[in-house]
Amino acid sequence: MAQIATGDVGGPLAALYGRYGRRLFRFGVQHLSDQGLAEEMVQETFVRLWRTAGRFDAEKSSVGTYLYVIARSVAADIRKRPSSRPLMSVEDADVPPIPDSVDQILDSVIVREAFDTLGPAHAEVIRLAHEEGLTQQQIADRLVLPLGTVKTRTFHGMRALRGALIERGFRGV
Amino acid sequence: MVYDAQHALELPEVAAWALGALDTGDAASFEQHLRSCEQCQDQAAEFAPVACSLPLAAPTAEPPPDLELKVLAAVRYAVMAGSRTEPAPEPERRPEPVAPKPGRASKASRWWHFHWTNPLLPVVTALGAAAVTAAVFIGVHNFQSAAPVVAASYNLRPQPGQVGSATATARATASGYEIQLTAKNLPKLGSGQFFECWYAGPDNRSGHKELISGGTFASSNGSFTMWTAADLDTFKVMQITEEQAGKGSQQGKIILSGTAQNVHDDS
Repeated sequence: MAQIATGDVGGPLAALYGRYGRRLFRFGVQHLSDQGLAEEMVQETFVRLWRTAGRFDAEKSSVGTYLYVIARSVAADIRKRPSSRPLMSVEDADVPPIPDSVDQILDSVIVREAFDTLGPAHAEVIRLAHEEGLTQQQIADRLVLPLGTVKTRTFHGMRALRGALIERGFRGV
Repeated sequence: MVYDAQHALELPEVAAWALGALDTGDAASFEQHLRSCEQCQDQAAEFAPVACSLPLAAPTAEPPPDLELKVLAAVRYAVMAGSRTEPAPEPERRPEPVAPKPGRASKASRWWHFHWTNPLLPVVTALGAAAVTAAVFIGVHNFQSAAPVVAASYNLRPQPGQVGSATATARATASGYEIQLTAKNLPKLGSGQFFECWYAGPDNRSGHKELISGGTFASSNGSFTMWTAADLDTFKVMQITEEQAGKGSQQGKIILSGTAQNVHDDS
């Protein structure tokens, strides 16, 4: 941050992007419902980071937290712009609210990263149950698997997911 | 409680129950069992927050490969434009002039302090004036010689079905390039539309964008100054597109395109 504050933006910014860029982009997509606006949010977040780097106090927060605070503010500004709101019906206007805290932002990316560590077999049965609301029997029919196999995969997948969440410091388990 | 793996394998329904993935009959049966089984109660207590976390998961979207370049270019643009809004540093305090001590002789006390009665004073004054004039002349000459070098020029031609033209020069600066673009007879813009300048890399193609945004303008005729940190030796092609406000990447049609011509290239 000290280097960025002095105007040395190449290497230090690339390092920060490497560490936080993907999480910021996913946060942007989640809360702006548009990949183009998420890209814009990420760019503006780093520009504002440069602008305020001189005021960053490492004793008060980590760089990651600071970035997420800025990202949250940028996302809120983008959502306020009339040109950012796509034309859609009232029923489709299901854009989630901006999280109230950085912890909530971090939770969402932690959960996604934890889920991404699951093997495909475990991830698939959990995804079908959670995202598509299928019962175990429906999942067994969809994947052409014995019901017992689906139950066992779901059980072990949930155990693996719990372990991955604990490993990443997720507050909710 | 000690985890009983055998019991868990016999009753893996606890995971599906936590996810709400048991059908009505199975759920009722399992809940009956749950009332009296501490093993399953403990396991259910562990799985419940895991199931509750799933709706929080951020989407699986991956950032486009060129987003890092765009981020770096955006920050460099801001650096060059000097658009920082930090409070200005406090000006240095100059030391107060020291009053001469009383009783000190009026005679010059340092060899460079010429007394007004010194007969050499007119000569020194003339030489000094000549030196200052020479210094100013040399300084101006050096300043003009050090003006930004033209690194590349562009002759932008309309794409099929498009109208207009533009020329541009890129001058190297300490932190990138200053682009002077002159556009003529570009299409008339609609509400919320603007023109955007892009630098395209060698692998840029439909479905695989390799682009850096170079700035925007909203007039069909005129001269515009923009800044870029893009490596023009790599991102050789300049494109002008017609864009709509609210979009974050190149989505509009390409109006003009041209390749950088290096003024030092003899070919």
